[in-house]
Amino acid sequence: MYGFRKGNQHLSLAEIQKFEVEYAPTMQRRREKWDALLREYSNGQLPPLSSKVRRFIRKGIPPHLRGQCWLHYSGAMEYMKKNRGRYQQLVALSSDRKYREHRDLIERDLHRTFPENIQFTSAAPSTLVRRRASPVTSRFRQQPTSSTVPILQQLRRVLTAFAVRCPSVGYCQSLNYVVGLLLLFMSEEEAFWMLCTIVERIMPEGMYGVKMEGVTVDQEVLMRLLEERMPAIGHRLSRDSAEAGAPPVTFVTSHWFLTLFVDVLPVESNLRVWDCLFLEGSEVLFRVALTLFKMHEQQICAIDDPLELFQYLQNMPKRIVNCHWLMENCFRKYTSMTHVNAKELERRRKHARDVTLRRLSTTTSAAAEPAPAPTRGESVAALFRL
Amino acid sequence: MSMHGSSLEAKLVILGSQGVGKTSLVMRYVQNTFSPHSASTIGASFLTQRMQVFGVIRRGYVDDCRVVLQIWDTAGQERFRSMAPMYYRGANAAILVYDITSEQSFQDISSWVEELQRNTGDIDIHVVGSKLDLAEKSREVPQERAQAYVRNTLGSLHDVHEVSAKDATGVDELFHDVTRSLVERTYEIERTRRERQAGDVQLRDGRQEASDQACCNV
Repeated sequence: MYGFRKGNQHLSLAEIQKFEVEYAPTMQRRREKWDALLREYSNGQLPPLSSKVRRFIRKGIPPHLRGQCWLHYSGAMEYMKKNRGRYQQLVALSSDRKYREHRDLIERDLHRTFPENIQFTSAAPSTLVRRRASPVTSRFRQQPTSSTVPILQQLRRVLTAFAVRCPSVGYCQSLNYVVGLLLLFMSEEEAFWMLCTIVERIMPEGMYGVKMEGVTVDQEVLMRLLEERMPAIGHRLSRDSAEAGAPPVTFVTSHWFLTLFVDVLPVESNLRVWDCLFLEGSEVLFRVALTLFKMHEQQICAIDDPLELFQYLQNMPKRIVNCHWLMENCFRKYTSMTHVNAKELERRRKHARDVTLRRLSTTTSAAAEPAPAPTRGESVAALFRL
Repeated sequence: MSMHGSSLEAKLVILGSQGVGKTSLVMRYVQNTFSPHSASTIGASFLTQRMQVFGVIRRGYVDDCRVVLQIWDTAGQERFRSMAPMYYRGANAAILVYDITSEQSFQDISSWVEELQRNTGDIDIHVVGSKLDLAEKSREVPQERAQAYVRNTLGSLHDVHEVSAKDATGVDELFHDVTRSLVERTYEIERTRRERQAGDVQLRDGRQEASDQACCNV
């Protein structure tokens, strides 16, 4: 689906196909409902946000409307309309010598983005996407490039243009996956504005920055939520992190947050999460993460060996093929355990920031020797729950 | 000839710059597979591998030791480096990978060595040059120079390993050397401890009491 190879060590082809058969009628029903919704607004525009639209989005946007809905409801479309021509400008700027380092880092990751997706490995044009011959694209085609895969050239341009636009982030590994998946649903200019919206508006500050302190803060928030709402799991995991040598669970969960679950959840489940994420905001990531823990509570508590547990946590989202069940659990069955709104999240993030800063200052002042200032590595290590 | 069926569990961390082939190296070793473009690693991933080291001298006997290697494969981008201390904390060995076709990636090795030596007790460091299959076409780091650096920095008994995950050259040998070195070090620590203990006992009451438990866990 979407060019991804079906089936891997975590999920067999048969399991996926079985689910697809089950899910097809639901997909069909959603498609009809959405078409009816659009007809109500006869002018072909997407309806303004309402509780009905939100409910529809939580139940899944049909694939043919996905790109459009993401752009519209996230605000990225408006962003783009206000900045016509800006993307092309940034692409032109990005060939400047001073961005060479970014370009090199991005180049190294291009071929490592979805190496198992046919669209990222061959010159086959995408069938899903509305392709427009933008002036940028045609100009670049005349230049000799290292790759002949159209989507990789788009990926390169979007990532470098973003690095130019946002120097505090530049290029952060994991954004290649995010943009890669976006490009399967929209044009490159749209993907660019979607990326800006995600990094600058949806995700908290500092998530993808050079110090990645936003990751640390959000993981602290997530662990606190786990402890409060699923004490059994919270206890199990904190017991491990207290044991020497046991890897903290935040190694696993920071990956979930950075990639917005790309390559973590099976693709259809990932897309259902994105449907909600782009409308509702980053609290969706917390809700989904908590749901994943809740769905596997018994297994987590039953595994005694810390390393086995770590491996289990690493792989558990990869089996969630039933996207409908995941979202049902998230917003209905376990809603009391996963619920967190934007305001509460803001408060928790502030608290987490204070806690991590305090932990950092006590760790550094405890160092008796007049050592030089801790390296960045050491300071962030102190921020994590070691 | 195995006298003791010993076993050892050890933690190995793989570090190095972005795109030098850390994941490919691990995949070649653990799964014996190679894909020209493996997905970039975000954060870290964790694998275990069981192996056996034959013929190590332990308490005067030749011993075979079963080893469970916990392998931590990490992200290479500079900004993820801030998380590295959490990966190498408690590690017994580190493989530092550079790409023989990239001078910069080799330059980056020294800061890893310094960081590990500063922050860890006595981690066993191995320096590895990857992408040996590209040596003829685009080598930037001469082997002699890498070797000289390794001997200078880590001691005269150390060698640089040059490997290719693509054609499998040197990969099994590398991991075998790493594991063997881990086992030998463990036995060495064990021996020193026993001797010290024996010395203590003799001083106290002249009775020699060697502790016989296999204290093999590093």
